[in-house]
Amino acid sequence: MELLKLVGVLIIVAGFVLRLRVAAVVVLAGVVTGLAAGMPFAGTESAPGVLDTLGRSFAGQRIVTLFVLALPAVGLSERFGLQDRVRELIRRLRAATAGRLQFVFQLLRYGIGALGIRLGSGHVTFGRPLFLPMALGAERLDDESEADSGAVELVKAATGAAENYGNFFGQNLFFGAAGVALVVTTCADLGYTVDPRRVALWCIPVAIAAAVLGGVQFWWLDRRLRRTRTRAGGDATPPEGVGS
Amino acid sequence: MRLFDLLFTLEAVFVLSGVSLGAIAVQSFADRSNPSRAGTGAFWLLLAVTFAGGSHMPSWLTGLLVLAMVAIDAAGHVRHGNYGEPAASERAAAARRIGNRILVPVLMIPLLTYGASVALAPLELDANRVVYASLGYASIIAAVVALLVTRARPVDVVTEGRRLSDAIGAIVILPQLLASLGAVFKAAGVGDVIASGVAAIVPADNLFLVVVVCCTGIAAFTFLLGNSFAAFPLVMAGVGVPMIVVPFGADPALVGLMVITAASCGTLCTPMAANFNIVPAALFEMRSTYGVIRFQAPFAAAMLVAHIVLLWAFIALGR
Repeated sequence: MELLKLVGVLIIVAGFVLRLRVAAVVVLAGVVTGLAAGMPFAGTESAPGVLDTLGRSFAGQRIVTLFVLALPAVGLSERFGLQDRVRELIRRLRAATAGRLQFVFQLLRYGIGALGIRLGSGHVTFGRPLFLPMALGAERLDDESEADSGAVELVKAATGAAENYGNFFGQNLFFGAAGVALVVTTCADLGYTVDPRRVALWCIPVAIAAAVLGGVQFWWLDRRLRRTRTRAGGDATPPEGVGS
Repeated sequence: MRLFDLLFTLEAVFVLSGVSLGAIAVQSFADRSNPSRAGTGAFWLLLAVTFAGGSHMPSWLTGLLVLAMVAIDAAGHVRHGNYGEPAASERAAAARRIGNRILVPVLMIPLLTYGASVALAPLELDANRVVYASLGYASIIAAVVALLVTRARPVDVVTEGRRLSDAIGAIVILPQLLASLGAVFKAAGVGDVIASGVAAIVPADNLFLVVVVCCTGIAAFTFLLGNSFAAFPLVMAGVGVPMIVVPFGADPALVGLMVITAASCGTLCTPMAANFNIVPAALFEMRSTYGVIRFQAPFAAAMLVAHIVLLWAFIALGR
């Protein structure tokens, strides 16, 4: 009977494997799990149901979608050449490569996290408008060119990863971070008094390990991009629109 | 001050988001080049309503609207339209005309958000309220500054917001849906079932093996649920404290921190953490929905090994 509750997890896994519409799979998993656990579909004051639990937590989680408010400013800047400008600026910096830029992004994210600065999703604030065009510009990759599509896809993935690495393994360097607070309150519940500054201190070796491993992966990215380019013979032809 | 308490709130920013999404919906309904303009418009309109009215509507009604959005997406009716994008040459000419000033609006968003957080710190308001109200207003101010810098028509702000929203598509509601799923899982007691499973397989006397099971367990748990915060207390109470801190005299601050960052190794690999892994793939207009996860997976595996080694070594050396 207890294991029946895991049916939702199974539905999620099956949905992802079969590549069904993710939103529909998630809702289905929620409804089935709720019903399997004996929740009514539409609840009452005393017994919450699946439908109202869905509505309540959806409304309660609006914060994660607030980034939509930043899209008009980013989009309008792009329409008037933001990405072209960023690419041009980064090309003046000869040492810049996609991998090195992503490594800088990860370290910048550490700095922001360690200072306790919260800015919402870095993918919207830094990734799309700044680090992605910088990395594509440094590698002279064209987002709309079919020949570049494999390399572009890789650089995009690395931009998303750099933000996540920096965010996940850097934010707990700040003793006031939500993760540190969770450690402190959980330990208190279990009978241990823990100093948040000591918790944050133990994040230093974790952050160093993530910087080393991230550095290795971004170095590998540069190597891979260089190889693809040599094979395509792209180095011989001057990239379009440079220096004009 | 009363005006500040009315406007500088999460609620006000939610309503403004609703207005912004509503404008996108109106434009979508009018876009004849969109093969499914009614569906696309309805999707954004429903999202706008849940944003603006979410705090006042009965929960069952919000739930129904969410089901409607999911149905529109499942039927394939959230589509792209026409955004009158300028030719590359026109865009390059604009970039030359405007120069570095084009960077100002984008850089303003983080700087204003941070500036407001610092300036308002003495008021000791709720941290979420300060961060997200600042972020919301910084975004709006940035859009106005972008209009001034580019001298675009005001309607272009909506068109461009719509272009990026459509690029993300129905994925935009996934983080909220997954959080709701987490709430149902929690109410149904799914976490306890998994935690008891993890605790049942732990070999109690070997420090290295316990550390392996603890770190891998929380990562797997987080992979399944998409959220380490739900898993952490269960794993600490089930494994971390009784099997590591108590028998081996380990520092609970060390164990707690390492367990919570080990969980992030699971987060990096799971589509359940949509806001970190799936939304950026959509936002960057990647071909593969799982492209970010695929890149992160080898790093996450190596980080998990690093966690095991570090935690084991620090405890072993400290004894």
